[in-house]
This record gives sequence, C-alpha cells and structure tokens, in this order.
Amino acid sequence: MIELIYLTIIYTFIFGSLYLGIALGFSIITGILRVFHLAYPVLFLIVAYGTWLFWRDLGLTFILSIVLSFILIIILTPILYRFVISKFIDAEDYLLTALLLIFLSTEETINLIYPEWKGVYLPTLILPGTVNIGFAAVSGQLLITALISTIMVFFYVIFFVKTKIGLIMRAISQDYFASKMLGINFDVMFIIAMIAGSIPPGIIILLISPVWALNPFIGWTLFMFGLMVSVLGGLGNLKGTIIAAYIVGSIHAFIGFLIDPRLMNLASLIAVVLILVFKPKGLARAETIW
Amino acid sequence: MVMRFEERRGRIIIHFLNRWRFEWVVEPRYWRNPMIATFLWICIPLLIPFTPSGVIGIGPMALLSTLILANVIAISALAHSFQTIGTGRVNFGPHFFVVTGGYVAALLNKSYGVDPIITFLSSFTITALIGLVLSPLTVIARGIYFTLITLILPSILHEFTYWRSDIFGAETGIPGIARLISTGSVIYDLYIYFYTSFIIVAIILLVIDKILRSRWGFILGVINEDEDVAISFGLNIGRIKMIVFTITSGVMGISGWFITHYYGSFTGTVWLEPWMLIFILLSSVLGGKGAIYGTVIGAYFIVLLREVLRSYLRETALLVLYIILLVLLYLLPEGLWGLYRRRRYREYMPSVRIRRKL
Amino acid sequence: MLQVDSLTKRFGGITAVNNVSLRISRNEIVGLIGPNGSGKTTLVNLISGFYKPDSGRVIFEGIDITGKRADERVKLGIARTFQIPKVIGNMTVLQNVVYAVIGSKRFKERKMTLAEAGEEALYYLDIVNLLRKRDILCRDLPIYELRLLELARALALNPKFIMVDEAMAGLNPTEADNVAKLIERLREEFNLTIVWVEHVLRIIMKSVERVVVMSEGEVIADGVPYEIVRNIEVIKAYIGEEMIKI
Repeated sequence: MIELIYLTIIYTFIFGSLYLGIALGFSIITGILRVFHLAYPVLFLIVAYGTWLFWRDLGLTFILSIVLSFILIIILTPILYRFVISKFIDAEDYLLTALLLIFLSTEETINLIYPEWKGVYLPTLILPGTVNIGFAAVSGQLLITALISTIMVFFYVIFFVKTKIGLIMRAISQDYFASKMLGINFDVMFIIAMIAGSIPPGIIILLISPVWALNPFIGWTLFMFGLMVSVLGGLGNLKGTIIAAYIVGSIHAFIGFLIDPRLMNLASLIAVVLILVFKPKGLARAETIW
Repeated sequence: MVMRFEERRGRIIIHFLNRWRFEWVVEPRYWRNPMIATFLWICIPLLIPFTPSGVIGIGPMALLSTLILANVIAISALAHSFQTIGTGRVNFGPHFFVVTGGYVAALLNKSYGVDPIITFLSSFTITALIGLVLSPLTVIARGIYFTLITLILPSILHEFTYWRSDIFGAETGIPGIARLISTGSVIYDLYIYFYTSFIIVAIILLVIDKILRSRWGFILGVINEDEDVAISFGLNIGRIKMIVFTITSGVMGISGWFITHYYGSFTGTVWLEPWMLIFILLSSVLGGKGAIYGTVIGAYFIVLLREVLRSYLRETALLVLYIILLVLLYLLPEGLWGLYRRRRYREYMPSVRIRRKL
Repeated sequence: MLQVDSLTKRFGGITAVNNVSLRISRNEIVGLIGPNGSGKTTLVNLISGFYKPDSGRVIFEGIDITGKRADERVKLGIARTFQIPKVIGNMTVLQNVVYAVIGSKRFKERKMTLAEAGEEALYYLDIVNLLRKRDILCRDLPIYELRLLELARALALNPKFIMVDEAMAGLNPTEADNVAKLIERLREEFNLTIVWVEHVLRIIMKSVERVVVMSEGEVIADGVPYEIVRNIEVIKAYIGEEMIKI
C-alpha cells in the first residue's frame, strides 16, 4: 500500500511534467498567436518519423537525423503561417478545419508510408529499466523525460520573463492592438513563437518513444493530453498550464494506481469538463502568456 | 371557422381556429429551382439499376449505399449548421451526439427488444437531454472555448465505451439489432432505406427553412451578427441558444439511430473518429455558409467523392480526399452554394459567422 | 420614474462609477455630462443592464430591476442607443428596425405578422426621416444616418425611458441640431423620459431641463443648465484646477 502511495506521488510529478511538456508548445502558440493550432500534433509525427526517415531510409547518423527533422519543422512553419494561418485568420471555422485537414493528411500519409507493423522506433533510451525511489520502482526513461521536461519549461519561463523578445511576446499575447502600435513586426514574432512552440513536442516524442510505442496515431493521442491541460489551464497562459498539467497528472496517478487504470483517461477528461463548467476560461486569471 | 386563408403582400397567412397563424412566403419565382432540384433528387436514384456497369467505378448497390450514407451525414450536418447559426458557436463534437443516439438505439433494441419507432423517440430524447445538460456552455463559454470543450467530448465517450466494453462492445460494437426493413431483396431494401432517410432529410430541411424565413430566422440572424444588439432588442438570447442547442443535438442523435437500424449493428468507435467530424463540418463549410441547401449538397459531394476515390485509389483514397477538401477550402470561399447563388442579395438569410474573439 | 441608489462599479483597480445616486422623474429630459472617463457610459450600461453593479440598486417605476437581465429591462420599457452605433451592417435599414419591432412587447401581444412589423418599422423610419434610405445596407450609411437609425430602433421598442449615449459625436453642427430637435420632438410626441449623455455642451444645454454632471465616477453637480455652467466644481472638472487659478 505504501508503495502505491509513493508511486502515486512520484507519478504525479512524472505525468504532470510529461503532460506539461506536451502542452507547452501548444500553450505558447495559442497564447501568442491567439490561434487554436489544430495542426499541432503533426509536430510529434514530423520529428518522430522524420528522424526515422533521415536515419534509416537515407542512412544519415542518428543525431543528424534528429537535427534535420527539427530543421524541417523550422522550414515548414513559415509556410504554414503564411499560407494557412494568415489566410484564414478572420474565418475561425475555416482556419480550424484547414488545420485539422492538414493534420489528418499528414497522419494519413505517415500511416501509408510507415504503418504500425513496420515497427518504427527511435533508440533514445537514456535510463533503461527502473529506478528505485524510496519504496517505489519507477520507469527510468519516464523519470528522465519528466526531469528534462521540467528543465525545458523552466528555460521557457525564464525566456518569457527575462528576455526582450519574451517581453514582446507577452505584450502581444496581452493586447494585440496596443502592441501593433509599438511597431513590432508581427509576422516575424508569430513565426518565432511558432518555432519556439514546436521544439518542446519534438523533444518529448524523442524521449518517450522507447516506452510509448510509436504509431502514426500517436499524434492525436498526445494532443488530447496537451489539449486537456491547455484548456484547463486557460488557453495560452503558461502559469495556468503548469498548474493544470500537475492537476491532470495527479488525477491520472491517483486513479491509475489507487482505483482502476482503465478509468484514468475518463476520470481526467470528466474532471476537466467539470472544472470548465465552473470556470469556462480555465484556471488562469489573466489572458496573457504569463 | 377552423381555417381561414388570407393573402397579403406575397404571403399566405393561414389562421387556425382564430388563434394561431402560419405565414408562408409565396413567390413563384422562388419555387422554381427548388422544385426542379427536389424532383431530380427523388428521381435520379431510381435510374441507378439501369447502369449495369456502374457509375464511375461504383456498382449500383454500392452507389445506393453511398447515397444512404450521404443522407445520414446530411442529417447531422443540417443539424450542425442550424446549431451554429442559432448559437453562434461551432460544435467540434457533433459525432459525440450521433454516436450517443446510436448507442441508445442499439442498447434499447438489443437488451430490451424495443421497437425501432420507440428507439427513434428515445434516441432523440436522450441525446437532446444530454444536449440540454451541455447547453449552458453556449452561453457561458466564449467561442473558442466552446469549440475546444466540444472537441474533447468524443474522446470522453470513446474512453467510456472502452471502459465498459462489456456493454458497448468496444471495437466490435453491438451486433444483432433489428433492421428497419427486410423485404428479402437487397435492392428493394436499399431503396427503402434511401427514401426513408431522404424523407428525414427533407423534413429537417423544410423545417429549418421555414424557421429561417420566419421571424425566428430574423432573430437568429441578429444574435449571430451582434449579441449585444439582440439583447438591446429585448431578446433572451441565453434561452434561445440553449433551446437551439438542445433540439439540434437531438436531431444528430437521429442520425445515429438510423445508422444502427440500417446496418443492424452499431460500432460507435468507428463513428467517433476524426473523419466523421470532418465530413459533418465540411458539409456545411464546403456546401456554403448561410445556405442549408448547400449543406446537403456538400454532404453528398463529400461522401460520393470518397466513394469514387476509394474505388480507384484504394489505400491512398483517404489521403487524397483530405487534400482535395483542403484545396477546395481555398478555391471555394463561398462554398459550392456560392457557385450557384452568385451573390444575389435577395433575402437576408442568417449566415454562419464566427468572430475572432479569443 | 427611475431611481438609482448608491451604484458602484469597479473594473479591476478602477472605480468607474462610485456610489452614484440619482432620481429621474417621469417625462423629464435630463442631460448627463462630464469629461471623458467620468463614468457616464458605464452608468448607462448599469441602468440598461449590460453591466452588473458591484453594489447599489436600480429601481424603475417602483420595481427593483437590479437583478434583471438586459432584455428583461427592455421589456419593461428601458431603451438605449450606443455610443458607437451597433447596427447589423449586412442588413438594410428597414430590416434593422423590423428586428426592434419584433423584439418589442407589442409584437407578441398583438400577434403581429412579419408584414405588419414591416409596416410599423416604416412608420418609425418616417419619424426620423430615414424612409428614403430604407433599403440601403447599413454598412453603407454615414454616421449621421446611423444615429438616426439607432433612435428609430430605440423608438420601435415602445420604451417609456430612453438613454441616448452621445448622439452628437462625429456630426457637423447642422446634423447635430437636427438630432437635438428630433430628440425634443420625440419626448413630446411619445411621452418619453430621456437621459441624454453628451459631450457637445452647446446643444444639450439648450434642449434639456436639468443637467447632471459626473466626474471620476461621481455626481458632482445636479441642477438647471443656467446654474451648472456657473458651477465652479464643474468648470474645475472640465478644465482642471490649475486653469481656475488663472
């Protein structure tokens, strides 16, 4: 019993950090661009399968493959921004539908080229087996993922609070129109924000791939976690997202270890919806990124 | 006198028992095109058996099945369109309501042997009740939040059905359900299913059209354009939105009911996948905003397109479908209906307009 | 007719309306003036129901309407215009007024048809002299006509009490004069009680019987126009204390 409680506490941290890492990019993009980026899950897929493509099919070294897949994202981001987001910015439903279609197309393409039976995997195992913390044996890789995710979030927060660009982004997220008068080049800022938001999901998928079987549909699954956390935390608000991530993490850990693992997802989804009924804008108190 | 007719300013007003009145716009030139279209809609399917080698690679029976599916999508898409107009919010989880209706019908029939007619009423009622419970969201949650919360709903149902897979049959679904009709001949059955679903679509279309042309249509238009103005007119927009949401949710449940009794089994998980969302959404988006007829055309277009692609391309069909739809989003900002309408400003019809207010 | 008791409304750190109390009698025409940011429009929003007060009460014809929604207050007879005209751009002038008729109590009571509503709308358009523009889309209208439209719409609701929010902004002197005459006429013909929020002092001073002055969320003066212009507090509020010394 004591072991279960230990596990619950530790996995609250692990799940929370993991979901935070997943939601981080989405929160940033939504918070600054004020666009609900329904094509966000492609980022997981591009990094995972892009790396595989460069590494296995094109014979490049593993590290180079990873870097190239990120570069691929950096190249595709301005294209996505210019041809999709800018175009449909005033017609929200068209925008959301277009983004959803882009995601579905990408997912389907990957499903055709690398269906599940092909066994795509990424050798990113850093800490194999389990680690003993107190009375509990915890998955080593997940622990590392959680730690790296937390550090990543820490750096992003510092970025938004201390740097000049971060300050500009906070201003944009708070008041679009007022910022316009300050002569900021919005397009550039938005693209930078999108790229900044695209890095965390890539890192997360790389880290969890040894313990979470890769398949073309993993994008949407992960996205659901990120979405839950972001919406609960208050769209585009980092503080809220952080709190929400650990709330969802604790629900998952608690239900998973102490009640019934099959209920984990359902419980957190229902909890999120309930909280939203009372606080429809999420937990955040302000409509700004920080 | 039970009924009295009065004609005034191009409208026929029917007074009923001196208490109620119905208004009907009677202007002949408005009737011509819809009459022709409806006539074609009814008659063309009858010609299908006379194309033995199939139309564009699809055999006659597959074609009829496709048309039936198009009707099913049209039912939900019409409800969804009207819901968007009436609540000013876009629901990204219509398939949640469809599947709920389907499961209700399936479970009632399978476990208690309930008649399809009763399951029809139950599907509608229970789905509408769930809609009622969720309807305050249309008032409390601003645009994008509403969309996101509704996006999560299908996932909740998905998890729920997996959790109690003993009841819901997880991936295999619930088999052995009474079908609506069984004449012994497949082709006659298909025809009956087609015309049944067609009647449902036609009724919904007529009702929505009537509403939009009446003073309620006016009111919905105002709410859609500017909620503050609507309030300053003394309209209780909260109540109107909630009523619209509740009833349209119930109609989506009817879609699910039909699926259940058509296939004779119900696998909810299949219908909860994103493709169903895309089909419903794009029917109205591609069909043309502000015109519910366009929604039906959109539904037919998408379903037929997928079938054609499937018969020629097999594996890559879905991908090509998505890409074509994406391209059409760019090419047809007014939708398919826009090609027909050519911007003639005849009468104001409330159109779907989502404001960018995050 | 209207009584406001200790109304307070805060937005974050700012108190827009601070403990304001006011009484308006039937058939009065009262001007509400004050420098920018003094809380005039907020007060209008509080009375019409678009904002909920943090404290205080609003009593209309003896009924406490503080808890009532905006649309309920409209049904009780309170109407208002908006500072920035809120019209439905995609509809014609006539259609905009028809909606207002549809929303009014009489529409339901008399079970009017759409056609009858249309006829009544024409009547209101005639009063504000917009009849010839009835089929023009609202987004093509200049500001003067938009303001007339707002008045027509407010009238179509059959109110007993209208709050006019800055009807003169953006108008040239002739247009402003026309609007002022129209408002006076409306009060006579329809037996209305009018609260007129305004910036352009010249015209309002001629048309109203009583002036209430607000500054920084509080009422600083209340009396006939003649006294108000000589009131030192009012001058201070508008021009600033330093100028007085000069």
